[in-house]
Amino acid sequence: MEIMRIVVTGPVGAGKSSFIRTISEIEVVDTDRKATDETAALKAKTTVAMDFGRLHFGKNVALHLYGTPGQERFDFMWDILIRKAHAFILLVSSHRPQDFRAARRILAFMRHRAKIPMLIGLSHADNPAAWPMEEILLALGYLSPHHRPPTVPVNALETASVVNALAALIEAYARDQVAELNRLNKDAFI
Amino acid sequence: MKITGYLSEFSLGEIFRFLAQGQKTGCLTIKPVEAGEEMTVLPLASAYYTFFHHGNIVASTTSLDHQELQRLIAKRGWLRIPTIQKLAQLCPPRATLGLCLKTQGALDGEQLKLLFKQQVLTPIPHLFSIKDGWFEFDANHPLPYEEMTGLTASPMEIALAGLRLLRDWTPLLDKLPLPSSTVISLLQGEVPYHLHQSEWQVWEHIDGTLSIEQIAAKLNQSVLDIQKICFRFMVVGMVEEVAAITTVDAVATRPEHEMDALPITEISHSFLQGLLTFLKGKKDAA
Repeated sequence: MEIMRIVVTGPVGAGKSSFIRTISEIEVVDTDRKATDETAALKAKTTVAMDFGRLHFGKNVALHLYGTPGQERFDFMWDILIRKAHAFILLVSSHRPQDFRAARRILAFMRHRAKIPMLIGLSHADNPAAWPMEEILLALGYLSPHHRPPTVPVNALETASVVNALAALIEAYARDQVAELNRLNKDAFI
Repeated sequence: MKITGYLSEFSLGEIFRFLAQGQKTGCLTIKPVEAGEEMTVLPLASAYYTFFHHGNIVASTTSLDHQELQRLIAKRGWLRIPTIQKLAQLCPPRATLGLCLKTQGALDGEQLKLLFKQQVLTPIPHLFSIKDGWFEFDANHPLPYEEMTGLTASPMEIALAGLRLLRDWTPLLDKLPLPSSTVISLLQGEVPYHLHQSEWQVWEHIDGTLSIEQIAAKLNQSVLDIQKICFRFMVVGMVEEVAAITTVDAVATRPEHEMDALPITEISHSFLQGLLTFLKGKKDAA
């Protein structure tokens, strides 16, 4: 069975649970109440809740989605999730500047633990109080427009929008794979 | 481009960092929700306007009548307002009033420095004492050349000064780095700011391994004091906070093999292609 694991993270209320529910083929599992599949291993000896969703798209191939616990407290569950993930999505509410600090803290936490492809999903981008994408990226610490992760608006309740975000992340992962391969080839050549 | 919010959500220090790092040009308006008694240095005003040019502060006013600099000059007895207005007519368009008067020999460089200090350097740090207020940054607001001396100040330096002056940290307590967090230096070279002795002591202990509470213990200072200093460092872009894993008993007792229960393997090209095709189909069906 080939499984790709994607972590969906972000401050409280950014739409993580909705994102996973919208795309998951199974009812999203809250591991605090029920653990199945791989989540059983993650669940051991913890009381921390997280969302789990799944998408089978062929024989022996599946995408697993893990939502980080909502509260801004980084416990060992986060550590496991990140180190076992292939990529992650950071969801940020565009209209809640008070969340940018938490989002920045999450980013720093992730960056110092795993070098994996990521995507920023901006929810509530159509809200009248929403900050423009450029300004949010700046507030998150991305000063150079040339060194920024892919960023897309996300409506966590709409399938097409969630699919768009996932596809953009998969493409980023594929690009990262190619770049890594090129780097290895170059090193081997040298 | 306009952005708005409340200082309780996005603090003034964070706004200054945002405007400086983004090299923004425009007007930052702050309207105190409660112009409290802490505003002792500034006259009470319903709004404060700070003007930025390419990320630097160029002027600060409490009205938009474009005459505050003239009043400051007249109050010091250097020039009468009618004289200033007459001389200003000789200025080329988009010339700052301060430099224009200097070019015509009406004011000298030292006088401009004093004006800038009175207009910007002294009052703005006290804005950091506002407990809560509404803010708006308008990038389309034209620069008020009549209010500008021609001098500029770094928002980071001003923020550092403002946060050092701050006595009541209550509104910022939930924005401070956590005691268990580590702070990591973001600087490549030397520290670009004049640090106080207590700040230097903390800076010398920032090695990417010690948590804030560990630094506090080493320096025999309160954790809160170290949090405040680290917050200042964060605001001026010297460090970033990296949160620690919360330690719980379960971690200590959890056998190592459980962590390895999930294998981490490279995803194949065919998997990625298959997934993208599947997602496209799902999108078309939606």
